Amino acid sequence: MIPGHATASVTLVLVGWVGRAAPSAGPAAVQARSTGVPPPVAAQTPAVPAGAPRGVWYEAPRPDDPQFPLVCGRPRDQLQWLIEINGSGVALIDHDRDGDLDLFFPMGRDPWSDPPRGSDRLLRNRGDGTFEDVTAASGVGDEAWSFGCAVGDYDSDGFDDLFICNWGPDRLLRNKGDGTFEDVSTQAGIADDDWSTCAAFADLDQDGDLDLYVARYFHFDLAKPPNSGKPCKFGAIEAPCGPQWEPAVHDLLWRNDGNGRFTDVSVESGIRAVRASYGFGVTVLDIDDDGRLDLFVGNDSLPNFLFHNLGGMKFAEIGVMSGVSANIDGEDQACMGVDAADYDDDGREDLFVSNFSSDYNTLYRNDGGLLFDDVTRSMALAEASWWTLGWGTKLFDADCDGDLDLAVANGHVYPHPERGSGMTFAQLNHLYLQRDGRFDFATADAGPGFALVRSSRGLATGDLNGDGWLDLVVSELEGPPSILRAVPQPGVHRLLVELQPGADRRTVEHAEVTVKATIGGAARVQRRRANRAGSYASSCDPRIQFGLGDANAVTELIVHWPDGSEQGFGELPVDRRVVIRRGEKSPRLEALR
Amino acid sequence: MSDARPPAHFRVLAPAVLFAALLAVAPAWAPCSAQGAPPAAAPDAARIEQALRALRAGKEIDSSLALLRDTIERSGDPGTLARQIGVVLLTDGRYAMAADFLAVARARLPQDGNVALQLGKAQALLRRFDEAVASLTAADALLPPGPHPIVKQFLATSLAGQQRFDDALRMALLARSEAETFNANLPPGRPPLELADFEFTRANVLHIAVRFDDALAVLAQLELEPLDAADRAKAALLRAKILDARGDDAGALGAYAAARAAAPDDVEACYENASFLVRRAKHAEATALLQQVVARDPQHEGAWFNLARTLPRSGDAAGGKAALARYQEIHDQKLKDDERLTELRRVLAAKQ
Repeated sequence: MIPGHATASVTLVLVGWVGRAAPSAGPAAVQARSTGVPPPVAAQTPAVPAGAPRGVWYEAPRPDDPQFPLVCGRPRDQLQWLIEINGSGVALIDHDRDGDLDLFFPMGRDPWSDPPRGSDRLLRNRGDGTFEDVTAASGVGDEAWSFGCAVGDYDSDGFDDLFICNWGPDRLLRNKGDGTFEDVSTQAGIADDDWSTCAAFADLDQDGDLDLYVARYFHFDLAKPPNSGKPCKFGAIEAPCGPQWEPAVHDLLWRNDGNGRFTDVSVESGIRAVRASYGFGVTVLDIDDDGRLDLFVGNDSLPNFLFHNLGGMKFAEIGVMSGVSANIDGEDQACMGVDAADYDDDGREDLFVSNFSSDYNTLYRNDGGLLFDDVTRSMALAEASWWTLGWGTKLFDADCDGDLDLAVANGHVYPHPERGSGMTFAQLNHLYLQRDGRFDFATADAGPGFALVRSSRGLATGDLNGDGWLDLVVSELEGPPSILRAVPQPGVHRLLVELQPGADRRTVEHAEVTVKATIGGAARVQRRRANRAGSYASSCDPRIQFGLGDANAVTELIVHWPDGSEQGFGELPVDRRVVIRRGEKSPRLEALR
Repeated sequence: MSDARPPAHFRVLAPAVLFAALLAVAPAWAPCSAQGAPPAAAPDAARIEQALRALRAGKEIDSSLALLRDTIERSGDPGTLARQIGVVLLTDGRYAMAADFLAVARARLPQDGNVALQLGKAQALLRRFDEAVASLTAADALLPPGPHPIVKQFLATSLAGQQRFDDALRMALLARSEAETFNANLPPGRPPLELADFEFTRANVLHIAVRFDDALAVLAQLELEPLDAADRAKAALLRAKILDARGDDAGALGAYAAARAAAPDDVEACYENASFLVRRAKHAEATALLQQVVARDPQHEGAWFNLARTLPRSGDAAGGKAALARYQEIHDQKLKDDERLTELRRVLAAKQ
């Protein structure tokens, strides 16, 4: 008898998962899978070499960049628990309001080492491409086991504050405006002893101040570890046991009472009217353009949540109905990172989630009517992500051509996946450029910054040096953070829009800006939201960057303020930092560096 | 219905809710061992299959679980039992669970080439290509000497999945060659292997390698031969997917239609066509096809999931709600089944 003769056709089942991106994805993916040891950091590349493909080029981290290791438990060969493999994120925050983005790293902990390692770090941007560690002076060196953080001016004093998600009590650090922070967690009433992963500030009740959503994972107790402390087996691989060994805990929604205190409104808002899940990523968007901010929460292994804002701080969870709870076949995925943006410029914000390995990252197109479709395959995004385990992610205009591109930070959670598969712990991060209505895998052509093979986790985009090109900061497991600076391309124009509150100090977080310009001979309308939230455990540049390609001018710029009002401006020059203070008639224009 | 979903983060582990499910069924299991019943007959694949199907249908859950548990408890051969359950699940299209059971069988029966082959198939169908290549390579070594064309066929696709395209193409050709050898020495009473299947594999490998023109040429050559309706549908569906991947929407649409015309009852061709239309926001056309899918396969999770969104966009809000409810019902049932089966696997794996 011939073995296996009677079973189903392999042909029909396996076809269809490959698409247009595969030719360029191939070598990179192979490299990612077969490279267990990170290669030496590529030499610094000050400019795009002659003959290099036009479009985008990222430098490798510089020798004088921060070199401290990001701690999250024990070294790879000793780690035992899930809490040691998820890593932490990164936040971009101009904490001293000098106009440059500083870097905040919430960090895990290694209590087993002597002395224990790991505390949060704050690095001040000197404005010359270098950073200085101001952790001690600023008072942010919390030694709790941290994962994610959110940035926002919760007390409307003009200085950005920090909320830090911890295993154990979370922290709210108020920016005192003098370069230092004070821990106001107790006064603010922020009490949560469980495992928080990510958070987002947003004015969800439209009262002008920032409320706070906190995604949580599960109750983890070192004294009662999952599986009685034994590692779990995944095929031939031994690794820390996953979240499903322990019950998930519900996420939290904190209402800002406007007096420095927050109230837990998780129950009355409807946030708790769902099955508790393993929250990993949260972002803010307005799915139906009704002016009320909605929330999308990516969950690990269980359906994602889409909380539709009904007004009055009430939410309805519509993830399954809208089609974003699962992939196109209705199958749950294991989400790690999330982002929201209008990738197809149809005026509706879409969603992207990064997922576990042996699965694809998913792009959901917002078709209106609260309905989304998984268009991953059509956009050629499915195949290149198959072997990688995606974390932090962001839709942004990497090549400043006027449409949104995509970055994904990758790295496995199994300490040694190569022992049971061809996958590796350290992986390439991915960059996809949107061209001709699809996302082309562009990692191999994006310079030495995207040639690093590390086990990445958080990712934040922002303009670190004031040139209007978005740089990336990536947090790594077991390594120093990676700062990937974008190298400006000649003749490519852009605009960096900074929104500031008016005299009433109402928050301008999540305001939208529409920019009209003629790019490549075609009239283009870009609508982007000032959105720090999203990615994994990270917080991005609050300013909005617009890529303008060959446009010589912006024909119109409209600000859609969170209170529903609009403010329009006529023609504006390109290559400018545009500072718009709510209520003021004219923007302030500064040349980009 | 297909549960060929890729493994989610640690999906194979028992979720906490499983323990509640376990407690719920424990009373039904207890009497089986407590009664001191005589040893069961040798594990019976038909009984196992019947119990698994009952589980899927949500009928006789306690007694089905009891039967399976009882069989496990009394079986002196947990490896064989794990293999039987795994093969039933594989045939049933529940690849993730099949792989879990077959992995238990593989650990218990390390010299059994058939177990390695079945595990490799499940892993390949789950697109866990690295594991599939390892299992299939082991199967090739463990099976009795002679041609192993099915092993080679799955190996070819798995190697392509690993992006080892040259190896994959060589393996596809070897699979075809071994199939010819097998057919030339056909054991009495055995039907010959369909060589067209091996050409599909070659075309598929070329497709995965993004050699679209070469893949289409293989299909064109194949279509010159007298194919039966199922093979014509298979060829058309593969052509549709290649054209879809190449960005030729009009060509893909025509090929999807040809696939459906060749095999009007084929659920997969219909669903894939609908999925293509959903991704292109052609919701009314997608809805019509999705309704055909669920008419033929009322358990089709993906079709209900999509109908929940295409129906409202076609003006049928109530229909959308009903589809949503149906999807959730199927999805929840599947999760419950998976939890139960996971526990069975754990019991089986722990049995000495």
